[in-house]
Amino acid sequence: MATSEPLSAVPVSARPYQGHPAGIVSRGAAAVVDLLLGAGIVAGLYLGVAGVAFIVSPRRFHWPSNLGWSLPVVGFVVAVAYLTLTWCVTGRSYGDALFGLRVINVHGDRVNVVVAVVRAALYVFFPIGLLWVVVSGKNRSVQDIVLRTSVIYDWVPEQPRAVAAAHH
Amino acid sequence: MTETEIPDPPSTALVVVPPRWRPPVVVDVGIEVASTMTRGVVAVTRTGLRLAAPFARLVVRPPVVPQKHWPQSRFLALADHGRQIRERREDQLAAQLKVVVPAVVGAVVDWIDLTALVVNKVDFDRVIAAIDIEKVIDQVDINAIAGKLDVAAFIEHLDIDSIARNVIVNIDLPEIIRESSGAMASETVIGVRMRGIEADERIAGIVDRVMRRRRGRNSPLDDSGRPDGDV
Repeated sequence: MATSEPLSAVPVSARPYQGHPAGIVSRGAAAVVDLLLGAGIVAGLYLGVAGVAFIVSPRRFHWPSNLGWSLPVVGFVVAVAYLTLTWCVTGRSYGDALFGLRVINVHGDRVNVVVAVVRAALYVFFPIGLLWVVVSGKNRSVQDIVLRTSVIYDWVPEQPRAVAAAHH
Repeated sequence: MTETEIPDPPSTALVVVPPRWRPPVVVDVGIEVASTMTRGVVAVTRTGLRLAAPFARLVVRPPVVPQKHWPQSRFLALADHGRQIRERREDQLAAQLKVVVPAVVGAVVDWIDLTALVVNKVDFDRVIAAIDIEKVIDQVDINAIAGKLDVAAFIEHLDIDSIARNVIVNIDLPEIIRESSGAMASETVIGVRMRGIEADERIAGIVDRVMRRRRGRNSPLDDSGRPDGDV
């Protein structure tokens, strides 16, 4: 006695948008959230390093300075690692989850590690590529076009697409 | 006489044709002779009547006699009287049949085991096949029947517990609870997401208008939900 339409917790007003490519505002806001999170992680690392230095020799403690290239390198590594991990494991970073977005590949599945790493690196190096969403007819950024990915509205926490694919 | 084959009746025919009985040849010869003779007699009679007609007319309607004294007028009067008698007898017979027929039929039905007769002789498969169930259902007032149902008594007989348990198992209730009570579905998050979608739509609409796109970009994807390869 299975019904054709599965029960869904998604509000009725949002249902028509599920699975459709997300626009620039949602994606931009999600990116900002991720950026703040990344900055927070880097700041946390900095405080951690300073804390360790303080514990090791409290007398000679001074805030780490003259960071040089280490800050951008750490920032890059943190951002790429964070985005890769989240896109591979759940299909969405924290910012994506907040705005109900999901990164999918051309088959509608989660992206694999290679695609996720390259995509993350491209976003960190060339964030302005996101703005192509405004112009694109399919709401795709430069990174999406290069890697044949999409970002869709998908408010359901699990991934029903993969479940449905397994049944077919 | 040539013999023409009667085709078998179709299976849905209401009349059952029994197997044909074949009489001896002598009978067929007799029938043929009788038929020929009858045709001859009819022809002779018809010719005789045609020849005799003018004389008969002269007899029944003599030209010099007034009409009321014609033999024809007398015949008609007799016929009229006879008709009245016949009609009276018919009425009497009909009245008697009304009494007699039910009594006879009742007696016959009493003698015969009607149920056994129907069971043995009626081909129910064909009867059912001939019924237009759709039409019958159309004529039935389901609502009126439903109105007469004792729903409470009906429900009492149902094992609601097991039905509910089955439903819960089938709909994966824990998953629904997880979905609806999770942080992702809280009111604030829903509000933020909806504002995001609305803003996306507005900006996409403006850009599409500026770029003179005839179809908006948020037209539904194809069934697979697969994004197209173009830009």
